[in-house]
Amino acid sequence: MEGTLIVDDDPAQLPDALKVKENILVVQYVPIQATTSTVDEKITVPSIRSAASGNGKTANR
Amino acid sequence: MTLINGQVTPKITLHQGEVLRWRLVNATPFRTLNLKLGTLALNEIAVDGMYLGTVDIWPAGKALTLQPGNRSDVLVQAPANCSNNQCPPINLTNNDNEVIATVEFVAGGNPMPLPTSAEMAPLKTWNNIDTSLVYTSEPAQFQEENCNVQDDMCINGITFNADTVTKLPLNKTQLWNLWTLDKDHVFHIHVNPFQTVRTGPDGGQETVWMDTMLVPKGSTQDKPVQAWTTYENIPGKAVFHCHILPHEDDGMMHAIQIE
Repeated sequence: MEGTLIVDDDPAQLPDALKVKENILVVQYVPIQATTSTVDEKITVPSIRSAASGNGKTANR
Repeated sequence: MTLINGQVTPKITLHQGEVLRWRLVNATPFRTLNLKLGTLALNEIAVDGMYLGTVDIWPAGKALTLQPGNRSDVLVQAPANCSNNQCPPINLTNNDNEVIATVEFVAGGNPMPLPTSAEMAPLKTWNNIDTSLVYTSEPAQFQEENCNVQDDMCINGITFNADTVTKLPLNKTQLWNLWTLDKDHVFHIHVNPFQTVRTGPDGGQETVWMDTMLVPKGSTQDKPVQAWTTYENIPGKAVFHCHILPHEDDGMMHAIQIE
């Protein structure tokens, strides 16, 4: 994968050195061994943006 | 098995010389991540979505640690010059020996500088709290046994109950004293982040803002982990809990009311 430019901050406030491409890398763990080539197709990545953005999470129970 | 964005050992491509921002999320249910990126530094600019106001350089060989629920924004600068214009790929590893991604470098990038700490200073998300102005303090004792509900986990002896609420003062500075009676736990609070002190990449003590942090085995009521918060502008109900998912699911959570 290559980085893509995500503008979710106010670009005017960013120093030039922060106007860069981004990747959101969500590290997950599943208690299984990688034994088939299709295992990655079975995983759904939930709510990447809300998980990455910090505040504003809601109670989950 | 550790995945990134649902993929087993994905390949990440950088152009030589370019800077890429990674927004790392530890979305594992209970694993601490200790991340290293081969021969490159991880230049950390934000923790839990909040700018540090500086650049913390975690050099190659020194792990960046993320507890379950932690996020970290790092800048990765690809090497600009390699022999025969071919930079060898490197690995993103967890706990030294687990390769969770590979990073390859391709020619054709425009060399880019990293931001300086002076450039990052105006972006600091929250001003530090004057810890001498603490109005009230609250204890949070994480425990896996001897709770009011048998076989459940709890905080301060009480397994989660939405009707058991601790009231916290709006617009006042509050100190959290956090400790564990048994194993490591991970303090996470909703809505309002906190200020705490961590060991920075240079080994010195560093004041940072987070919303998720380790309460390590060995912390005690007499020697707690401490965090400071001023609840500004947003009254209402929220929760804090252990971010180790099985612990949270077993009741290691507590409701708060800010008013």
